[in-house]
Amino acid sequence: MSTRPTSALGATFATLATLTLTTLVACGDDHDHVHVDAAPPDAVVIDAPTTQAVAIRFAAKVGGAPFACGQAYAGIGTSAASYVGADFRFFVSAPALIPAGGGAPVPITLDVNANQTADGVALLDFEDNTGTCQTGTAATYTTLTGTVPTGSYAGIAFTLGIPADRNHLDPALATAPYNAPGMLWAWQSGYKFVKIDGVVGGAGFNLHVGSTGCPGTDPQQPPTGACVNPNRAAIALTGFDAATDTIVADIAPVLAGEDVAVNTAMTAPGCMSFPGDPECDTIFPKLGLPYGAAAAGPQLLFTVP
Amino acid sequence: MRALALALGVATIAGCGDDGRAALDGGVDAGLDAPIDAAPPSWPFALPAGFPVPRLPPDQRLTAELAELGRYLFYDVRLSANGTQACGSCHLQARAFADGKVTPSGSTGTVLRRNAMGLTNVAYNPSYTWASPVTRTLEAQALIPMFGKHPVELGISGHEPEILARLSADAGYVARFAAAFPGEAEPIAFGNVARALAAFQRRLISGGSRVDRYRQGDLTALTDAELRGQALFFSEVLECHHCHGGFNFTIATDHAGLPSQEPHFFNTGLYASYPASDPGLWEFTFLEADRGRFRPPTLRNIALTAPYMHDGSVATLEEVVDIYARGGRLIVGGPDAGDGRTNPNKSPLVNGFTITVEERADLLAFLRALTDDAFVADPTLADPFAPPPASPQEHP
Repeated sequence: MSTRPTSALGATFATLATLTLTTLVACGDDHDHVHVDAAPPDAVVIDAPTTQAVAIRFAAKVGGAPFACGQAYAGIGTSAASYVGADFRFFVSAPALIPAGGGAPVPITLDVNANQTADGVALLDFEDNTGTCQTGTAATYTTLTGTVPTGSYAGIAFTLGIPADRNHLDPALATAPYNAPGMLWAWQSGYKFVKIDGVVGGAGFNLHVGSTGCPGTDPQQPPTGACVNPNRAAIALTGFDAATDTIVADIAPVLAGEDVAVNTAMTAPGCMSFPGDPECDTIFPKLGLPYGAAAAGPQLLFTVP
Repeated sequence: MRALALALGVATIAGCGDDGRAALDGGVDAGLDAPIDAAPPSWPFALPAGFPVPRLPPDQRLTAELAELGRYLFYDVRLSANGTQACGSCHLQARAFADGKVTPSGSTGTVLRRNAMGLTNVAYNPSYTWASPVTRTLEAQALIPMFGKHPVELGISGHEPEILARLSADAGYVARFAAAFPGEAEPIAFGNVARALAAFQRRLISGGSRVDRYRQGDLTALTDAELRGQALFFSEVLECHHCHGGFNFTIATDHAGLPSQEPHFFNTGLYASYPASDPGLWEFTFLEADRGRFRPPTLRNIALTAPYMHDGSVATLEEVVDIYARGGRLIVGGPDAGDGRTNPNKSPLVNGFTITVEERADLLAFLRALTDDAFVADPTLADPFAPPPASPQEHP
């Protein structure tokens, strides 16, 4: 590089700019590197810094304390119960950063790995399958990684859940993370978008959020139409800088209006999204979701401290 | 719907020079594309429609010759020291490879402490035996009944040369070992016996129940009662599917493509205090919370594998449903008296439920519809030493 004259470098930049434009017109995609195949021999190939890597850190908490399997947390819900952590996983999709100057959120292109897909879905996993956590995996996953166009951002937006067109894949054949143990209801109803479980006085108080009212007569078939209650919450957090901030998911404010020591007989232990479960009445609104007659409120699960 | 899913996959791939997308969609599409009951490239045997490819331990291989050798060994009483028992003595095909006893006896008469499990779909197990987190392959599991001394099952320990000599003296085995282990100078060895037994058991795949036929589009395959039972099974009131969900009807399921091979164990409240003779997972971890935790078996062919639970202490499927409806078993009197609902380690999903007599019958009907009649009659899985069925009289 040091041997190249300045003028040649300038010429390469010009070529690069043209090729970049061609690439964008042709594909409208977001390749992070432009490879200049047409450059003359021994030319300097310069990667145009059109995108930047981004890591979105999440932390799971219960009443301000870090979540851990088997850990007891005091003062949860209206009866100030002792709540033992038993699971803490959720799917997010369509993650995007909000430009500092305003404007539409800019999608994050997720890296593809066992927890993240090319279609923008990721499973965040804070349980390690020890102690009271019995339906999960030893591995945890707490940071989204990907790329965004180079720029200045001041917030983040994502969907809590899996998009409808990926929510009803054949579960026996689906690839990671769609095959995570414990995160599937059934083919018809799709995935548990959120699985945050606790044990209170020996009984389970489980929060399972997913789509309900998915039409069809066979749980082991995909639904025959759109689910009546998608139950996907749109989350937007301002004042978020990926370089320095961590998104905190704290379940305690979401459970604050329920007596987690009590479960209505003949309903799911805790709140599992299905209609007619009184334990969902105050929880869903705090996730930014409507439930029965209860309107959606501001979501209280995620904050940027 | 399969066609729709396939179209969506193709549409995704048809974008510009994709990068990694192909890995995801390729996996899904490969399955959807596959014709029914065709053997996938990495698995030499046919798999039921909609079943993922099992995970083969990385240092093992699977061939038809290896599995066929394993079939002979599985049913051969010469594998036990005293020539009285084979694997198949306690794993009967007609009972989905369980044996119908509370607990079986080994070849020398020792009564075992645990129920002989059915072997349906063991190729998909993330772990083996009722409660071991460390026995992760069928090859490793086979060594337990072969060589175990506490209890003695086949009782090979101390009789190794004698048993190898029996196999070496049989020209059929000489040929089968040579075919299964081509190029090996001394193929008749116990490591290879375990490999062959494992290979045969990987063929014990069942996906042909009436529930499967319904799923594949035969809407006449299930009765109205069975369909009502299926809806109950997958409901958020009964909660059965949390531990017995997925294509294999157990969360303790592994296959190729899963990021990790995760064992699962649950305490179902079978005892208020589990008998000291069998504390389950605790034996490996010494954690109090692991007392009474056992692996949830597949519910496929469950109607054939009575009696139930790790110790065979529940005689019928009706009683199993009643125990879960109660949220734990009540034992009145005797050394194990107590209310299983009070067990501190009981899974919080075993919460109890109330169902009507009709709903109970529907649920049981659904469970019985998980029986795969072709699997238990498949001649290629049968005892090769059994006398052939009488051929029909010919009338020229």
